[in-house]
Amino acid sequence: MTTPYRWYSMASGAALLALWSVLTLSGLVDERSLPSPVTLAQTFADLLARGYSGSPLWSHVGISIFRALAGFSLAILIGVPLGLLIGRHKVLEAVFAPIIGFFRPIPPIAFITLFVFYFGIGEGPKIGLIFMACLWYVVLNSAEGVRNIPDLIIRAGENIGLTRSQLFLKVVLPAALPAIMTAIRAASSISWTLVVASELIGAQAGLGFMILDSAQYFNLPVTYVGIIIIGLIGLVWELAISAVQRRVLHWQGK
Amino acid sequence: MTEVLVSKGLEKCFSSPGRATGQRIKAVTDFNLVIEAEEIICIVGPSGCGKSTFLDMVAGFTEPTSGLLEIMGEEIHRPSPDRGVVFQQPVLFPWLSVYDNVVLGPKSRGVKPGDYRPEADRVLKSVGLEKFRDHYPYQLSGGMKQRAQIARVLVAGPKLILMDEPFGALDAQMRINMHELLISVWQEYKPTILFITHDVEEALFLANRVIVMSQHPGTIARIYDIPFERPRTYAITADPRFAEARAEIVELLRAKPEART
Repeated sequence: MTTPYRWYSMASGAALLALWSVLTLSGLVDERSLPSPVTLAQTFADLLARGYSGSPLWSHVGISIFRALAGFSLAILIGVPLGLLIGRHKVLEAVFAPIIGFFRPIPPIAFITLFVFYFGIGEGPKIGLIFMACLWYVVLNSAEGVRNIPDLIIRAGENIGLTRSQLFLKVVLPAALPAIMTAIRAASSISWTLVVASELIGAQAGLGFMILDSAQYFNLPVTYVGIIIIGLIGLVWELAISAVQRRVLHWQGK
Repeated sequence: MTEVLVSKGLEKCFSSPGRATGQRIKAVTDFNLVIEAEEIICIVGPSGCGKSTFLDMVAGFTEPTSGLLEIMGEEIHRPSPDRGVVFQQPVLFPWLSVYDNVVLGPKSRGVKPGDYRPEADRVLKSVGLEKFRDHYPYQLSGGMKQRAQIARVLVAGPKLILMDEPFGALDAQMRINMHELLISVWQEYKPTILFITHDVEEALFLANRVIVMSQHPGTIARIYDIPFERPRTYAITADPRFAEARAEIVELLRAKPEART
């Protein structure tokens, strides 16, 4: 973001915080339904010191990040090569099109109960769910990335004498990289959304568990702190991925 | 003289989607041409006359429907750095620096760094990009991108260089610079060049022979020998023989209006 506009972003964030403080600290809004920033800060300090539900705060954060990263990484590891192959080979595309076409529009949340039924409440179903939801995006975007590679750049690769496998690794893969990075960004936000959803069912730890459990006991400050942590981690993760993207794809769009 | 490229009775048909199945359009037909070593051959013709189709076959991107097409006595079936192409659009690999674009080919073919490095340095110097070796394509002007393409082709020591309207997208001044560059590259490496253009003056300035193609059928209408000796300078464009040849070719191109199909 360029400097002059950064001030607008900071101002809007500050305004939101100010509005919230005024509403809650003045008593206009009942503290029991919307805790004030001061209460949340105290709650956060409390959570840091004593943890939640018998586990320290960092372990709730850690297990959520682990689940999201595991599902997300698996989806990248399997989805990117699969997508590149599908984009390059018409037969593979024909084979996978109906499968992906059917599963992709189903909201992954719909599968949560099934996954718990079949795989229990361990790590498997949660990671599996995240993996599955990310996979379609990664496969489809990578395949689309390959299909959108200009014919001429492939010809240029053939013309300098690249073999089929060299063409794939040295031309197709880098040329599809912008689309792959877009897929990775989308998958990362999906994985973070779903980790919370999956922890709402059958989890004993994690940020999703923490916000559901605290809300059930009307401990709203903890719920809010949980949500804010989820938001902040999501933001940092997104910024990190953008930074990587700008570095790796410095040539893109120029 | 060595015969570099031989095309005999060459024909290329495409099935046309608009017509009844089985009906095919002859894009190139009865194309007979022998290109000799160190020649610069320019093909001019109206768009759609099949000149790019011919170049695609020579490059090995498409197979002829029938006829003979040989490079140094070998039939052409696939692309090869032996027949390096300078594309009309600046088709460089945007994720690689100029230098890496140039050496990707030799490196991938297993040429030793000790062999391709000095060669890459030499061709980059020849096209005037030695100071830009670490730049990325997006940092280059249109003319510099075409120089980089020429360097990428030269580094392989090709038997024939194929140029597909390479300077068509450049402005007039840049085009003149590129013509002079190409002339100096030719003086240095003496490559055989097949150059496609629709700019008659460009063809006359560069070529030993100008091939004028007709449309429907896409074949050679006439071949002009261009007598100016090398190295050429822009002074020849003021020569009355240049103007005469130009007028004649323009007339020939104009006299064959595009047949309606």
